[in-house]
Amino acid sequence: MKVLFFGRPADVLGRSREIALPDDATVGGVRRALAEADPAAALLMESSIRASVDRQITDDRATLTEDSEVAFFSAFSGG
Amino acid sequence: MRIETRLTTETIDAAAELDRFTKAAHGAGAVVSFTGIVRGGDDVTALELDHYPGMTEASIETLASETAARFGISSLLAVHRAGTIPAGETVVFVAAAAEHRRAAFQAADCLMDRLKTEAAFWKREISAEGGARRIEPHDKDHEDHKRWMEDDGGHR
Repeated sequence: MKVLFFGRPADVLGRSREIALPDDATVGGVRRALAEADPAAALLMESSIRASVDRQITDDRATLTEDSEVAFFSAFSGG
Repeated sequence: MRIETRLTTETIDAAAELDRFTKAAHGAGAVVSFTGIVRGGDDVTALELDHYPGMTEASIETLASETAARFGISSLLAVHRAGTIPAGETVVFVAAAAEHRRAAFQAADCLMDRLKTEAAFWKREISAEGGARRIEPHDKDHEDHKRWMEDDGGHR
């Protein structure tokens, strides 16, 4: 599955990664799988890093399929 | 109620946007607009705004619709630029038309405060040496935003 990054996560991890759907097929599961596989991804465990599934902001309990588009991002800064 | 929102990577011509908006705002007694410009100085040569296609447009549309409904706005326009924006160029333009001035002022003010913290953009400052510094909302931005969350001013 494809995972996208924006803001601070993109600064350290690049714009996207392709990963296998973890056994814990939730947003929280993807967070942990990425952080365990790469020390640089530890910032994904920060509470300020929010997530979306298919472009809808969601919490860590949201369940995923291989086709889900997950994104992790730091605080918005528009205007 | 007429709401238009636009995300663009091209230059925003604020004067032309305002002219077009005002001409189309039939029956309104007040038009208030705001133009946000990339500040130069402190060695900043440009802002770089990253966005998430689909999610960013939806976030702007939602904020514009909620603001228009809250203040009884007859027409509202929000144009936001993304990509690399040189200092001195327009990054955001909003305009609100209403029967009376207070609602138009409040809508433009509220929409800007909410865009700062709720529109899906990620910002970096680019310096003359090519360095990039990540910018996140300041405490002041959160305080500005809170004004509209705590006190609905009897408009809701």
